[in-house]
Amino acid sequence: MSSPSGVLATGSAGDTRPAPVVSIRGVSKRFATTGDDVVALTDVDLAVAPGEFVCLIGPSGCGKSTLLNLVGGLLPPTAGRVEIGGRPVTGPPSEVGMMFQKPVLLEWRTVRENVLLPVEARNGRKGAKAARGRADELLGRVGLGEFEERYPNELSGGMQQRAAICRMLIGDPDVLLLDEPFGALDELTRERLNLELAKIVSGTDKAALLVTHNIIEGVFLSDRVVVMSARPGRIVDVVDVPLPRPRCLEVVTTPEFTALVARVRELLELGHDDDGKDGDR
Amino acid sequence: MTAPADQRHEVPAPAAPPPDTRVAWGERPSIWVRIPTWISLSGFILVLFALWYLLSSLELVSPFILPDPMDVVAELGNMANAIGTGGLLAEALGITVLESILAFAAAVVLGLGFGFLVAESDFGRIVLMPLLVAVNAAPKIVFAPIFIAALGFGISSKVALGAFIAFFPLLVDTAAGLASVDRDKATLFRSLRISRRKTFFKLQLPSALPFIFAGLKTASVLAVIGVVVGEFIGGGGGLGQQTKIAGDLLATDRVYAYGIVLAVFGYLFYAVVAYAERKIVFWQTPHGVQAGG
Repeated sequence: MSSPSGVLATGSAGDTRPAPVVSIRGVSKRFATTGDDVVALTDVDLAVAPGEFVCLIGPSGCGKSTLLNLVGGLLPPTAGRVEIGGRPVTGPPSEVGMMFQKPVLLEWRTVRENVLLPVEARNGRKGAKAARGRADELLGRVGLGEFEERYPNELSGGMQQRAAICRMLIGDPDVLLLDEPFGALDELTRERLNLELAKIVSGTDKAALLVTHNIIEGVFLSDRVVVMSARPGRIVDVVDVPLPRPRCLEVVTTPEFTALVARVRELLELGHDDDGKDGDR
Repeated sequence: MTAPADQRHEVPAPAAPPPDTRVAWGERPSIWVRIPTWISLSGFILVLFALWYLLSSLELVSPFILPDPMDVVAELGNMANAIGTGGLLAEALGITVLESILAFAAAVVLGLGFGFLVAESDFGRIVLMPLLVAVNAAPKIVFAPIFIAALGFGISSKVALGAFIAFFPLLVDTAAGLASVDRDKATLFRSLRISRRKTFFKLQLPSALPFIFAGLKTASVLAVIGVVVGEFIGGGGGLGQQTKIAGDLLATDRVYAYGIVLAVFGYLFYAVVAYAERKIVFWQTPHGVQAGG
């Protein structure tokens, strides 16, 4: 439970933030293949404070999804250390809620039953039954109030992702891991869901790590943008986003926002000397 | 692009019947779409029947090959009578039905069991599966004399042959289904720390069900085939044996009548399994109307 603060290289200088809920120190990840090992990540340091929204942006193959999976305890790091809430991650931690590019709903369960899956996993069917009110409340908040008893096939892609948001939040996780959660949706739906996500997360002390390809989306949602590059995957730089919250979509047109986007783009170009050939791991 | 404070998007509009754009674009649906299936189907059967009647009444085909359809109808009437009064044919049909159901049940146990073994164990996958594939590649009817020698001329040898012929496709489908779990769903379950046993029942098995039902439908047909083949070879008083006897006597009208009865039974058996599939694997077919955009 020791939290050795001070050794945390967070990329941005002058740390006055509270103790990080996610801390990544000296993390590298190699994937063994039949030929040479693939170096997905090398020497990554990052800390995320409670309530902070951090986005990982970079070309395909820069290891941003791998980094998310390391924090989510789905992969062991080859070197270095990942901690959540001061405890080393040795498997999927209970403090984490995940969202994927696809909604990943179980077609044979109603929307409510899908949302309750994490509760059922932890507390059994009885626990899930007790949490029904909370599930319905969450579903109401994302505009799915009348769809609790429907099956995923009856919902549009956007509605399915809303249900997935509820499933992520039902266990009240401290850390949200978002792997391009709205990447498969059309632009308008995606914008709307980003706004809703920001609304839900802001004002809580939940930390969020978002993987995205979209610079505007990343800057809009984040307190910090972590720019990564490929081959080997590493952090190029971290851009602070000091725009006030809550943000509405108009902020996109302000000069401050444009400057930040330009800065991120510049950093991406900088780390772009070697284009990604294969997809993310 | 301002977002309203109260965000309630994607609520489906009240259902209004969509205008038939096909007509507007000059593409009228074909006649087979517009008239009810039961009318077109029974109409088509009547046409085939008339054709048959024509062929046999003009004596274009030997009656030993294509009997007078009226004789077949009469034979079917006799059968219905016999079944009503509980005669020999009723008993024969009962035996075949019972054998088929038992063979199907045994095939289900074997198919699901071995399918599970093959999908979930290295022994099953590496050692068992190639062996089973080799056995399956053999014309399984060659084993019929062995089953009869081992189990006698009664029901059990037919059940064994039917199950033996029917279980393999179910095994393959079960194994494929259990291995078909979506990667993202597996990751979700892993991230929620759901135990292997619970993952099996809450994720793997439901994911496999569409495959399993495909195998069950095949097995329901093959079980009847296996049983009837067994009766051809090993007697036992079932409808298969009666068909064989009728064929030996060149009573072609009876062969046709029994064939039709067996076909109807096979179809009903299949239909029951298909009905169960629609009820259990309800998410495979579009469930209601797609809501929202």
